[in-house]
Amino acid sequence: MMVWLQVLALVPMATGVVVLLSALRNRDVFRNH
Amino acid sequence: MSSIDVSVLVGYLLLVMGALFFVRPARSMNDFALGGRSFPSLIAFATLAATAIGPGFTTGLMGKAAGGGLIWVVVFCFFSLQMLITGLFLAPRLRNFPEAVTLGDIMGARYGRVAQGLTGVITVLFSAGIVGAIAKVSGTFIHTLLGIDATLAIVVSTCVVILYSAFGGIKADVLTDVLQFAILAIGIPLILLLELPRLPADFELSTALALSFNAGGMDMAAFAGLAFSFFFGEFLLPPYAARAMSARSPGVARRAFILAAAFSAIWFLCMGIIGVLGRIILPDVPADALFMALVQALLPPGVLGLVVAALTAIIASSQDSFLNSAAVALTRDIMRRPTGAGLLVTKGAGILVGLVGMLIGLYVPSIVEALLLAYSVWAPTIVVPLVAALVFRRVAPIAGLAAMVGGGVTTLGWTALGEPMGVPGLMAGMAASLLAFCLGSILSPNPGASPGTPAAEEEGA
Repeated sequence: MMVWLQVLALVPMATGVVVLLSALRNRDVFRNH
Repeated sequence: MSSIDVSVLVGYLLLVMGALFFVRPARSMNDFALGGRSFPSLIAFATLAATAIGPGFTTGLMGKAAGGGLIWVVVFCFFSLQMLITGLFLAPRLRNFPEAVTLGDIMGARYGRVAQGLTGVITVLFSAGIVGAIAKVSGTFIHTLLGIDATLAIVVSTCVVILYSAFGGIKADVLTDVLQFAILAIGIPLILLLELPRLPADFELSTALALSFNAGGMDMAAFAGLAFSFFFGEFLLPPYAARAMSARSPGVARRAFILAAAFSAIWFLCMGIIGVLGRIILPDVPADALFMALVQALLPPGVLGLVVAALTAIIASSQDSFLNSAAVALTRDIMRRPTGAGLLVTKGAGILVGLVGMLIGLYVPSIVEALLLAYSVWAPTIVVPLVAALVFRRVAPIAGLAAMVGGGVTTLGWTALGEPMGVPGLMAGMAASLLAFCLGSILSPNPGASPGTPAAEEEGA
């Protein structure tokens, strides 16, 4: 149970990192031309 | 707060500010409202999730679960279910109106100018209310955690949000939302990880969670009413719709909503468990003060700064999105400015709504409550005609207007009467709206296909 709760907390944290990397890769879409 | 915490917080704020220089001011309405429809799935998902996850979905849920048990997670998950259904069936269809910049444009194309104006007025009123309500909450948090004067905190934090939102348009909102999403998704669940080692050694975790499932003794009728409200209350709110409309393609919009639905459900479970466990670790703290107490009791130096940064992220990412929608709705739906016109008016509208929202949040909270009535009439006025506009090829303009007026008036009246028979105002209003729409459709002589009629179900993949 303890392990599952740790996984539950880590899923959003990992999502945050993935989103950050994706934004870095796609940084050009943020620029107003 | 220690100096490490302050540096973490300041570092995060500088990063967000620095990123904004990269965006540069928006120059056209399309850039301002839709960002040239360029956002890919993960970015559209992050901005959608960051917009939806405000204080209510975080500290609000922690408090509810601490007092009433994990049944509140099930209630909140009806919001996730709504996001899923919207993503599967409706979000891609918003793209069938290529000229539309706002939801009001879509309502206007199918039901006429009055419908567009009404949609705009409701959007502007509740956006100002939400900006004010969030400003009030944020002032209290910042005051408790940092000891800064609440008024000063509200003015500074809201003005920063108003400025970047008014000048950078949706691209600035989305960029900050992405950074804010990352920090909130990392910072808040940390509390759960730090709670686990603090539980008593002989503690039966699964038993405790099961036993406290419905600690508040919520009955079936209350559960049904709440579930209904969480499902429909935020149905296709303008900032969510704007994210579907600014995604790169209909398929991207669909994926973003589905991901946000899944993420929000995981998030709710996380927040609920933080609340229930927090109550076990700190049994003497009242449920609504639990978040603050947990933050102060559990977090080591450095992490506290991260969590405070996450809290500012939760607040700003919701405020900026509502401000953008309000600015565009005021300019397009109420003032009827063409999309090609200059942005001065739109930027001014954003600043105006933000400042008014902030000032009433600070000085006249009773008006915030009045403005949030506009939020409570969103679903009863808009959902039935909007869904019909997206799904049906032919709709009668009179049916749309009847649904909007009937739903809105019924909700306000029902609420004023004290919600007879325990039926929530939202539920009565939705029923009236549906009834009025059906009656209007039957009585209307010949519902003509209007200019914005959706094209065949070309939704892309």
